[in-house]
Amino acid sequence: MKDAHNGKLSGAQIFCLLALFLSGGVGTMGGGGASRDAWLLMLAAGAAAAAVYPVYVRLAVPEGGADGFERAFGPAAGRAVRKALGAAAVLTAAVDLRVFADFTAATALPHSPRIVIAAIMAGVLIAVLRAGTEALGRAAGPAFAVVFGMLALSFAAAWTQLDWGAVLPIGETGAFSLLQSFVRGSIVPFLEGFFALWVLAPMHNRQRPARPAVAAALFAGVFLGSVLMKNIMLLGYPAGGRYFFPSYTAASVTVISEFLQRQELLVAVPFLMCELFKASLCLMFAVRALGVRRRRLWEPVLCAAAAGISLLGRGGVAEAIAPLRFYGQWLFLPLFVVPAAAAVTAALRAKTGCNHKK
Amino acid sequence: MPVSVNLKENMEKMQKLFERDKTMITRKVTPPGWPQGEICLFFCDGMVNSTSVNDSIIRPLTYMAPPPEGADVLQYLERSVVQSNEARQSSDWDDLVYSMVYGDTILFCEGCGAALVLNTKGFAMRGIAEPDGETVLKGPREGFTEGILRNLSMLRRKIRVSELKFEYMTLGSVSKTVCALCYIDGVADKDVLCEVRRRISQVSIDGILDSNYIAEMIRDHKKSPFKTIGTTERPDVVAARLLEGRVALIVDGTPVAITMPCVLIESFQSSEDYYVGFQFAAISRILRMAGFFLAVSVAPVYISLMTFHAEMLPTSLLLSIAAARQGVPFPSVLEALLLLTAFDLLREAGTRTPSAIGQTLSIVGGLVVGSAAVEARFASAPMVIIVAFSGITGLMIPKLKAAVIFVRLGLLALSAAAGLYGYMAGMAVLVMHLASMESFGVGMLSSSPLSGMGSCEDSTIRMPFSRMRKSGRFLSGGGRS
Amino acid sequence: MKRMLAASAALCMLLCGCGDYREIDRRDIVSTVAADRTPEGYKLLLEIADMSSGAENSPGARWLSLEGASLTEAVEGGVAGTGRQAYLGHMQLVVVGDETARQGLDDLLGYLQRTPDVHMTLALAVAEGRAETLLAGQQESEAAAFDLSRAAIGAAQEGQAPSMPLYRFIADRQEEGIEGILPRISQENGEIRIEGAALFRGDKLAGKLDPDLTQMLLMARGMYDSGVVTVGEGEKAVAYIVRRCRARQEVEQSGGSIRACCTISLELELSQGGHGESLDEDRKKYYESMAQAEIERRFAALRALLQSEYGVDCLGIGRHIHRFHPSLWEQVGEDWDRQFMLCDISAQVDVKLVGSGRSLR
Repeated sequence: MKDAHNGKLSGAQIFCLLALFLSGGVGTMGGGGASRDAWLLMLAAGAAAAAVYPVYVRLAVPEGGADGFERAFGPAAGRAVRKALGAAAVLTAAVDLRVFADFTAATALPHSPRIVIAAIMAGVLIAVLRAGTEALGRAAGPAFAVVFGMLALSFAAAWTQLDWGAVLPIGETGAFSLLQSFVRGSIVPFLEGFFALWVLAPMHNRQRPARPAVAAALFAGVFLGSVLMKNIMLLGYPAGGRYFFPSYTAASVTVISEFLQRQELLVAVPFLMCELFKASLCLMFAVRALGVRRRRLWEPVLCAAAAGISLLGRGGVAEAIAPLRFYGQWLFLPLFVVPAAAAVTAALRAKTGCNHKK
Repeated sequence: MPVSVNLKENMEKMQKLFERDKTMITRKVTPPGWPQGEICLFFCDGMVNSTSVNDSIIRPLTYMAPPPEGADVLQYLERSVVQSNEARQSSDWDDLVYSMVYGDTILFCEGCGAALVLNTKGFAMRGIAEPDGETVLKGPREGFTEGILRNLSMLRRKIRVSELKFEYMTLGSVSKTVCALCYIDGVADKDVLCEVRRRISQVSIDGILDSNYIAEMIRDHKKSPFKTIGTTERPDVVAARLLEGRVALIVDGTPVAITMPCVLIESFQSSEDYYVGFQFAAISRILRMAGFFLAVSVAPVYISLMTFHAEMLPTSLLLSIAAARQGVPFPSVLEALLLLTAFDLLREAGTRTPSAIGQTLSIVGGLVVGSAAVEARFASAPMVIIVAFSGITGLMIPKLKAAVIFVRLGLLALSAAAGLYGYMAGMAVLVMHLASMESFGVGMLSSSPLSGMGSCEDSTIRMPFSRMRKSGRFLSGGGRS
Repeated sequence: MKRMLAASAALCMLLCGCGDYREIDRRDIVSTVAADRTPEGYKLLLEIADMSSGAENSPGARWLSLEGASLTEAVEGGVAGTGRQAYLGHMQLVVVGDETARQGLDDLLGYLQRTPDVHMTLALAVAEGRAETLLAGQQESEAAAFDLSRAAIGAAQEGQAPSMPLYRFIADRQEEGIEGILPRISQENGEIRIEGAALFRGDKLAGKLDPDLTQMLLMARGMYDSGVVTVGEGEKAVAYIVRRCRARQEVEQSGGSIRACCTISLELELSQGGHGESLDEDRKKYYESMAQAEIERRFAALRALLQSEYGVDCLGIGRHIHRFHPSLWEQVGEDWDRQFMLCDISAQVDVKLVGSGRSLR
């Protein structure tokens, strides 16, 4: 059987994978104190990510056997940066698992031990990592249809209950507050896309992965923005912003008929699938970034590590969400500043190298 | 050890090899004027066509003229005397014994260091009938039988080009089973063909009694309940798969032919899809896929909703089910397991019993036991309905019978642990498992909506033939016109 | 590895005895809850669906009285007495006594919001007197389970009381510039009546409206889908069926004061009255003006009550200002309770008579 990580992915598969990855935070977005303008910030985040992703792609695709960090900082420093980001990816996967475990605890399984939920998720992640990136790509198409179909259905079902004026007034909290929310919350899922692009970009079968990446960023921005907008229009503001999982609550209040109510499944299934794709791609990045040789041994170890980290710290959803406010801030540095610096340095080096040759 | 030129030695050896075997017949013929004295024939009673032996061998021997002076006696007999359609010389005792037990007649002659192998096969075989497990309402009703030659002839009648190749091989150190690797030269994928040959060459077993012996040894993902090698008893299905670029292996002694590679969508296809209108074929296929999904999902989802997510059920339905469950002593998941086990036991018993009793058994099992269980409050009526529905939909796709049982059990366990989230996790693992599976280098999900490879002309629905241009091209080395 | 997976699967099966695995027949399915505050905490009366009694298509009801220092203690403590856990996942109505409502509903709202089983679309209502007394009347009349919640839904559909699911009430409670409203339940001669509205200031009951003014309020808020408007009494009564109702608010500031205008557009169908007369243009205009005058009269009465007597902005004028005139809201939002009482609120009612059913006369 050929090495599953050396296969090829089509542009459509990369688009689907990235869109699912970016939607991994759909369950919690808009909660934990998010503002009325969260939907607008999501649109802006999608547009900003569309500008940043070509840089990520450039760094991810190897040139002359070296990736972007190695080209920018040299082989040793580049590997060190990559390994640090690998550790960050494991942490991101752990946060992902933690959010999901708390989601299930808060919505349906309050008495089940969190370790059981984490173990089940870890088992699934191990199966996904064993299957490989190409298998994930094959599953991405139908998963995309299911996820976004269900979310669209949820939106359509809630149409008659929407209060369109609830998103007004726009920009009430002021520019600085919006910028803070943007940096802390809205742009974070898109910056995490770095991990996914590092895995997916080199596997594009036409060597032009920037296009599907940009398309996915814009699509995710628009779609997630509309989900947040729907949540506010259905649940009101500030009430909508006070639920930990507003999308889930919004789906639970959608009434199609007396027979069809409590359609939280329309949100829970997409949420689980997106979290799965997100955690899988983060761990796939970690496997590559950490340079592990024996994948079959290290993949379960990294999955277990992510599950273990997710169980750290007591408390429920409030305690889980609180650190997330700072998670975005300190993730901004490695996922924006470092790649930007690497891109600039690599470009300068390439230019200097060309000048020398001349 | 080679054949001796001494006829008596050869006779003694043959009789010693088949000591106490009354089916081995020795027939001595002394043709008039035969310079070498006797000619001795050996054949197995019951394996030969007696008329062929009498008319094509013994009669010509008794009427023959003596050979010319200095002529090669054996060659003279082979070319000028015996009248069987196939005759060859062999001096290898293993070959002679193998041929004789398979229905050939062996002719020994004094002074010849070889023997003649004459084709007189005439063992009894089952008539050609439609296979029970692959019946169709419209279309051919032929099915393979146990004889490899007859099976190959049925295939040859469907594909009448010289590019249809049959590569013979013998497998099984004791059974010496004849197998034929079939493919269409120029259409079959060369990589797949090479891989199949390589794997078959590594098969090491004493006896091959069915194609499944070989299939289990050469398949990918040996422990997965999903098959990676296709099986069929219909020659039209084999012909269609060969035309798509697959490779088939026909094994003597079994009507089941195996085809490689096998993709998941084949499990939902039926030969009848191609003999009825494409609209009905589309509906049938969608029903089969839905049947598989329901077979593995209905029971776990029901358990999840009843025990973890009761708020998702409409109130009136919940009240009905709650009323029906009053007084049932078992937990829902145990109830489901017991009923599913009972269903599988009844199914298995129905398969093994003679048809005269089978019908009665179905009535007893289904109506009496099911009703009695509900009335005695061992099980609730909704659970009986769910299990029956799950069982029946599972029978819609016989090729995935094993997979349905395993997957359903796994999903049931996960649902019992974590409700719908456990179910979804199980489905995620299932999808990833299928996505990662390959059959001879071809992804299991190829030629399905789940893959970028191949096309969807013949997957969830079947396109009209006029529009089905690309079907199977991912397997076929050349394009199909 | 495979053996471990198989063992894990078996373990999962065994885990069905713990965690959140609950058999439905081990739970009491609660349909309605009556909640009253007591000096010690809370007293609840639960209406539980009883499958062993009642008709084939509608289960009977069983009643369970619970007390506790808090709502959580009262509900969770019920299992100690009955051995069965109260399951709130299909609860459709929560009735609160008026005295409890006067003291504030935030406790109750918080509990309902936090409990994962509770359906956020359940209806809330305020009872005249103690909720327990009202629900006890249901017990005596041997009503089927869910009867009261069905009645509440029906009343909302007919426009006799507001349809205010839990999530909607919480949204109004927390949003600036609007106050929440809930349907009223009363008992007369042993009969339950769900009509009228209870008005809140924050989470505390501030006033009530009769059915006619409730209808008017719902029209002005754009929450009125269908119902009946009756003008006059006795033989001269004229009844209209409301086919369509649209409301729009406009606010402007002039000379330091705020002017708000509610435009209410109605499509009515003549149901009773005007027999023997052909419905020509003149007669149509006559009936339209009659309906218009009545609506305007009711609006004036409503405005007077809301502004002068209760001082609660249940019309949502403040919300409209907040959304569409944020700069004005910055000036008046802090003190909106007082500013609302000074607003000049008027109504412009447009009535269109679309027909008289299947009769020309």
